[in-house]
Amino acid sequence: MSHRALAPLLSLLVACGGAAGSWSEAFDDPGAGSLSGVWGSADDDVWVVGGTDAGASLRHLVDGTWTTVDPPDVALLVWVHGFGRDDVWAVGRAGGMVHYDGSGWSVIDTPTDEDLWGVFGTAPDDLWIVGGAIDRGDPVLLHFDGSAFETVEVTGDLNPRQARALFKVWGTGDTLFAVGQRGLILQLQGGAWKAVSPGQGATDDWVSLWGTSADHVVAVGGRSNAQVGVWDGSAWRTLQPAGVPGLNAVWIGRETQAVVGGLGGWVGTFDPTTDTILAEAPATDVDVHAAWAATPAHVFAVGGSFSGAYAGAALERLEP
Amino acid sequence: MRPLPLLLLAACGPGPYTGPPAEGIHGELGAPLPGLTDEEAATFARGHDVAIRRFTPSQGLGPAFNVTFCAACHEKPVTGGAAGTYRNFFLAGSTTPEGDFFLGEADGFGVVSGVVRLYYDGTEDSRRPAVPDDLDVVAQRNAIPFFGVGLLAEVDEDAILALEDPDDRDGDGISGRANYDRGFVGRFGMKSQTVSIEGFIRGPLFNHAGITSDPLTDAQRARLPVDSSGGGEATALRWLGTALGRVAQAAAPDGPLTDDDGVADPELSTDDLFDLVSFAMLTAAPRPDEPTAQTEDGRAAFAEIGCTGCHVPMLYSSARQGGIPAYTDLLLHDMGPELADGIAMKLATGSEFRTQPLWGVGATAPYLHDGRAGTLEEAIAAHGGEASHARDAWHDLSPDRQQALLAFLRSLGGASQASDGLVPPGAPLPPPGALGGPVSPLDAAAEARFLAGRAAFDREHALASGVGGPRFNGDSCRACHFEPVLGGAGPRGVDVIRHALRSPDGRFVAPAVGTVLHRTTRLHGSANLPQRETATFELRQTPHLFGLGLIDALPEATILAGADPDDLDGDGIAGRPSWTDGGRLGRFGWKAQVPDLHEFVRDAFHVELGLTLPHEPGRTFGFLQDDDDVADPEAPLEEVLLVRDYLAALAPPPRQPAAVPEQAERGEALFGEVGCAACHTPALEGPDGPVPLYSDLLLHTVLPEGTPGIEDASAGERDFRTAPLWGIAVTAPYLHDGRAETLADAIEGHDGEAATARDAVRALPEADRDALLAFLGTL
Repeated sequence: MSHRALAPLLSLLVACGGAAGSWSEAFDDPGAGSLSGVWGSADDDVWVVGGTDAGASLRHLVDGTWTTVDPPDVALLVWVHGFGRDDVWAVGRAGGMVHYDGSGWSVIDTPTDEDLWGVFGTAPDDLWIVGGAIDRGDPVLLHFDGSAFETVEVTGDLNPRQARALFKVWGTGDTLFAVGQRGLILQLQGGAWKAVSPGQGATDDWVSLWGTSADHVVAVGGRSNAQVGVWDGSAWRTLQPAGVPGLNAVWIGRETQAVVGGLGGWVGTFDPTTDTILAEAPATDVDVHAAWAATPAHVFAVGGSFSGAYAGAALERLEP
Repeated sequence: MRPLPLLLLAACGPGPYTGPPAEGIHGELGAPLPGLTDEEAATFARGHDVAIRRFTPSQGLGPAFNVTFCAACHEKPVTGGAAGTYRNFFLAGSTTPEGDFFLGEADGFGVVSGVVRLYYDGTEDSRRPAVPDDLDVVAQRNAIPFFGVGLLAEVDEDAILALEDPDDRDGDGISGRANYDRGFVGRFGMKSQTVSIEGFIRGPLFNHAGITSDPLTDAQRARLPVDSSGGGEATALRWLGTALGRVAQAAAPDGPLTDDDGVADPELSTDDLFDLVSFAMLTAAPRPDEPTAQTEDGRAAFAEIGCTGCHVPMLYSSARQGGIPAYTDLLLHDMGPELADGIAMKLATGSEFRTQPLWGVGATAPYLHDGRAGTLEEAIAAHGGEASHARDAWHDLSPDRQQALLAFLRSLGGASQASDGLVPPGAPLPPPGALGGPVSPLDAAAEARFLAGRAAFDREHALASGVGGPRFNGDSCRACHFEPVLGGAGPRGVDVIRHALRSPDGRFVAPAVGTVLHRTTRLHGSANLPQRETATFELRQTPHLFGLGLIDALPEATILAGADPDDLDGDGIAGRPSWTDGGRLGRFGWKAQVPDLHEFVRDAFHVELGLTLPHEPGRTFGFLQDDDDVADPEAPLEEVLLVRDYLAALAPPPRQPAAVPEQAERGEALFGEVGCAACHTPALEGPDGPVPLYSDLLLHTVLPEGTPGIEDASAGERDFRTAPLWGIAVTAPYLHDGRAETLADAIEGHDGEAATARDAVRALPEADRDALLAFLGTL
């Protein structure tokens, strides 16, 4: 995994931003392919998912050592989420879904062949899965109660922006959001999904979101330039920071600092209380796709490209 | 939307660069940068060849497309340049309840990345692709010249950012700001929405021609004339592939573009892409003329009235150790409601546009993002928003200073290459009998008339002249007739689209606007879509015009002598004369729907160009009035007569030499034996001897039963005039809708009255079929 000098602009941002974290390579494993999802139950139990066009890959951090875990026969895995060391779920391309029960991974049959981009839930019997083909059809929104799937049609009033896909879902308590293409944001409220306004300026895709509470959520996206959304408990507002490339990854553990990552290895922080975004010294030049942490002092991030050599990167950010 | 604080971008240099210009960057329009190595020169030449390569369906064209080659839209005055309004394309999208804008995307082929595609060449039917219903913003785009883009790529980001003044702190009414692409300062496109030349090539190739490609490899990017392998801005260039992949082909989100036209992807090799990108990067900056007193006065006026507030003379390039004199700041400026098109791109709003470079501007009309301005004066007058002060100041200049300013602009490169169309100034007259030459030697007066007619045929008519009434297919005759030379045929990208409705019992019904569904329109905000009820689309290939004078002179009795409408001779072939307005015998057009050359030209001025004409007694083709705001008649009669006389004098296509003469002779004999000559009569007797057009000029039913089509004059839906075969060796593709890429395909496309002959060809031994094709290849 290469380390290239990035643009002068980014160096300038670093110089002026006073970065608090230092990024480095977590592991170097070309065989893992492109890496796109990371989640753990704790600092010493972290799963990384990804793969190539030949299939999925899994890496597991146990007792300070990254190990290769043979995946089930599914396509590249995109996102991972869990509820404990023995209850982990992952979804991916071509409708793939797998479950880890503490001893091994098994395939879960889903009612779709479309790509699945995100999975999240507050309990193993209350999982939401999102996806879609991006260039055709309607977004995929599935609920899984542990045994059966229910499909929510994302059409009509639920899709006022004619999005083709939802990319991530996240929530806490009674608040749950799903975000996706063309600035679409859905909110689960009172047991029903509804489309909510992202505020003016959401001219691109949302790729991911995370929050610290039901009234403090950050969404990121943008396929070329960055797009950042902030939910304050009552409304979303959208920001377009000039000079920052599109963002894919966000994890927020402090109210004043979301760790974000995006295209070309861009990493940094965003403070939703001041709307300030700061670059940090990158550790890769491949796109960063996901970030997760058990504590803000130690953030994991992964990335990669989804074609060609399927080069990936696994990173960690440590605060002094 | 709230802008984020740009805490760190204030550390920029002060104001415009005023040092010396870069050296060794200038050349004629379309020429390479001076001092290329032999390898670079070879790459440039190969890239040029890719730019003019006509893509066919078997090479990956489509399935939906607007044009068939790069230079279709980058042709003026030479490859790499601009194009007339006839090459405009529609860019469309939709707005959200919050007022945000998205470029359109369709489940089918009709719209990709906002680009509306006009042609569909799929396996089932040739038709115009459908577009989504939710498009509520439609704009047009005129082609951007590529000259010197490699130099623009090398301009320092700081040099651009130093000119930003988003809050107009200096109070000059001009508040440029940068657009960004993946975090880097954008510099290409009407809205500076792109930072990568590779992307600026791959995107349009896919969107307009349906040609798929893979991103260049890192190794190739390292070898590009502008190193794109990593570091600084080059990193942004390297990113292009992934950005494009996501936007235009989300199913392969990290780079390669794919489509489902049955041709293996990528349809353009990375070697060819490398050459094409290199070609663009290696084009020279337009060489300015030596200054004169007038142009220096104009230069001063240009600065005095505030043009240089956006059109800054130079931007610094550390790679070139000097200024790049493109007369642009590459920043976005709000051009006000006068030019707003509603298309938002990245950070650019619907009323913001990049300051367009002015080098070479004298040879690349029309102007502005949609080509609405045919002249520099019109372009200046159309400026609004931040440029309104400069525009007003222009109006306040004395006529002499206005002329000086225009002379200065025209001195910024390419003036000696400027033409009213594409024929270069002083282009020689082809010899008599040659393609594009006269049918016979001309005296001085006749030669002058021929050249004037050629100029009229080539002349692009600006919107201000009334072209489009309000819809049109071409802005000149040459727009469609240029393959392989002026007066020739046209590629698929200029096909005429005919369309029809259906009655409840399935019969043909002509739409109220006529059966021609025009490619473009002068109407803003309209994508010129067909009625929703349109049931039939039929493409019409542009035929060549060589030898039309000889056809025009054929005696009517000669044509009628071949007619056998009731098939009294029982050969299964029933040629019928086409009777047009006033009982005149038709002989021109795919359905022989036009009686003579004069009416043919009048018809084209009306139907294809949308220009109204003066009344001529006895003439029924061509419209006298239309509903645009230009006074009628829009074209003088002399223009029609010039074109008519030029076509009348244009030589028939010369026979091509056979590789194996004996084989071609055998093929010629077979042509008669299998029955082709029953309709494709080798020659008709004209006043001055036989005219070897290989047509009886009669109507025949040649499409399979039940095929929907277009009725016209005497011709039914499946009926077509026997297409003359002279010139087919150099005017592929074939048949009325261009469905046949090869002559063998064309034979297979025959049915109806021609089915017997087709079957006879099928039954021939392979050697005989080859001989037949060899003969056809000599025509």
